[in-house]
Amino acid sequence: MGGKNTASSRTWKKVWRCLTSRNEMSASTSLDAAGADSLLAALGEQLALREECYTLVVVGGSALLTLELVVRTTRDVDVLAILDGGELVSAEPLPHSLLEAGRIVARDFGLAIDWLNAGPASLLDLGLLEGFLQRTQRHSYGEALTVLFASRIDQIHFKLYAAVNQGAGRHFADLQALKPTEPELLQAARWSRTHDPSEGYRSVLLELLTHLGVTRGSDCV
Amino acid sequence: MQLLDFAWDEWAQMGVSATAHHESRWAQDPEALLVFTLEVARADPRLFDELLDWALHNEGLLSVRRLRAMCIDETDRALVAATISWLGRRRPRARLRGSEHHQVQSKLEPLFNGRPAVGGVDPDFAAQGLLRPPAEPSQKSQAPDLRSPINLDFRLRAMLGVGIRAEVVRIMLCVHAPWMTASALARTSVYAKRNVHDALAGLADAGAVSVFTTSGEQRYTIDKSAWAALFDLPPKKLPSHREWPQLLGVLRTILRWSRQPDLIEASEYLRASATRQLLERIRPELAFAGVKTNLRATAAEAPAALEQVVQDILADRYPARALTP
Repeated sequence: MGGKNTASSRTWKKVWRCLTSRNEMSASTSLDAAGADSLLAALGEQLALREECYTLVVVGGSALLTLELVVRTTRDVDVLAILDGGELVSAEPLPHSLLEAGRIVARDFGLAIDWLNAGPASLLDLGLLEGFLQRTQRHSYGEALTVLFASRIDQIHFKLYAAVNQGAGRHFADLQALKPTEPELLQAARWSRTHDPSEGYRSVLLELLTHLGVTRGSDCV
Repeated sequence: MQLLDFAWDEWAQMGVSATAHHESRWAQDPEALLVFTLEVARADPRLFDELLDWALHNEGLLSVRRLRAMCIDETDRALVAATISWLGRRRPRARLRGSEHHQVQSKLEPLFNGRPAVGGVDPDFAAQGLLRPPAEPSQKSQAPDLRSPINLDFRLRAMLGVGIRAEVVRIMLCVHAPWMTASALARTSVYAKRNVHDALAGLADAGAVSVFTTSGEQRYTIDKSAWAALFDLPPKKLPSHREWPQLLGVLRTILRWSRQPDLIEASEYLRASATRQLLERIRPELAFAGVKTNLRATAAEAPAALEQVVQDILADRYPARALTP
C-alpha cells in the first residue's frame, strides 16, 4: 500500500464522526473545511495506492472552505479542470482511476457517490479570467494529489455568474460572504457576459448588481 | 488465539491427542476443517504436527479429492499438496500419489509464523516452498468417536464410503430446510453439480432420499426420523449444519489478509479502507453461509464489522454442554 501516516490519517476518524450519522448519509452528508481537507487527503492516499497522480483545479464550496473564505458546509468537491502537462484540460468526464478512487472514498466515509464531480467543467469552455492559474492556491495531499483552489477574485466571478443563473441561494450567499468590492463585481459582470451575452442574462445581472449596491452597472455591462 | 482454540477443540473431538473443552452440536466437515487448520496451525507447530499425525492415522477416512477442492488460493494448494505428499511418503497408496513436485524449491518460506526452521528440512514441505523441520508422526492420534455429533460425517463415510453420497446425506440430515436442490448441495459439499446429481439419483433409487419436481426443478428431501432412528437418536438430536467450506475459507482469507506486510505499514485510514474492501470481498461467501455483513459500515466502522463477522462465524461455539467447568 505504501501509504504513510498523514494528517488525514490522524484526523480521519474525527472527521468521519463529524459527518452526519450513517442513517442520514449519502445525499445529506455535509462537510466542513476539515472534512473536505481530509476527504482530499484520503483521495490522495487512494490514488497513491493505484499509482495514479493528478493535479485538480477545484472551485465552489470546498475551495471556499479550504481557503477559509466562507464558513459553511458543502456536500461535494467541484472539479473545474485537470492540470495536465501545464495545460488545463476539461474535467468532464473525470478519469476512470480518479472516479474509482473517489468511489472508494465515498464508500469509506458514507458519502454520495458524486461527492467528487466535474459539475463546473463547462466554465472552462468559454475561457477563464486571465492569470487564473497563477492565482490558484496549491495544496498537496501526498505525492499523488495536488489541488489548485481557485482564488477569491476568480470565485467572485464564478459565483456572480452562478447567482445570476440560479437566483437567490447558496451561490448568492457565497458571493455576499466573499465581500466583493464594486470594481470586482463589475469586472466579474463583464467576464460573465462573455459566457452569456443574452439580453435576458444582462437584465438579471443588472438587477443583481443593483441589489449588491453597484450603482453604475448598466454603464459597464 | 480464538481460531486456534476453535481448531484444537474441534480436532480434540475428532481424535487428535488433546482435551476437548466443549462438545460441538454441529457436524464438522473434515476436509474443510483440515485445510483451515493447515493455515491456523502455522501459529502453533504442535497443532500442525498433531494434525498430520491424525491425518496419517485416519487417512482412509479422508477424501484427497475434496481436500484439493477446498483450496481457495495458492497458499492452500501448497499446504495441501505438502500434506498429501507427506502422507503418501508414509502410506504409499495410489490416491496419495499426486502430481506434486518433489524437488526442493530454491526459495523457501518459513511454514511457521515467526519461527526459523532448525534441525533439517522436511522434503515434502520444501517441495512446496515451505521450510520446516522434518515432521514425524507422534502416533498419539485416535480414530474419531463415530457416535459424537461432530463426527456424523465419519459415521456416514463408514456406512456409505468416502464420497459424494456421505456428504449429501450429512448435509440433508443436518440442514434446517425441508428440501434441497442439487445446485445447493453441490456448493455446500464442494462437489461438481453433475456428480452430485448422479449421487442423488442413486440415493433416490435406493429410497435413501426422495425426489420431487417443482417448477421444472428437482428437489430432494430426506426422512430425518428414519435416519435418526438408524443412528439411535431422536430426530431433534441430529447435529446442526454449518457451511464450513465457505465459513472456514472466509476465516483463512481474513487471516492471510491481516498478515500482508503492506497493510501493516499502511496509514490508519488505508488500513480501515482495506478492511472495508475486504468486507465486500467476503460478502458472497458469507451470504451463502447465512452470515450477515454490514455493508453500510464506513471505513471507521469496518474493523468492528469484520470482528463481528468472525464472531458470527464462530457463534454457537459454546452453546453446547461444556465438558469442563
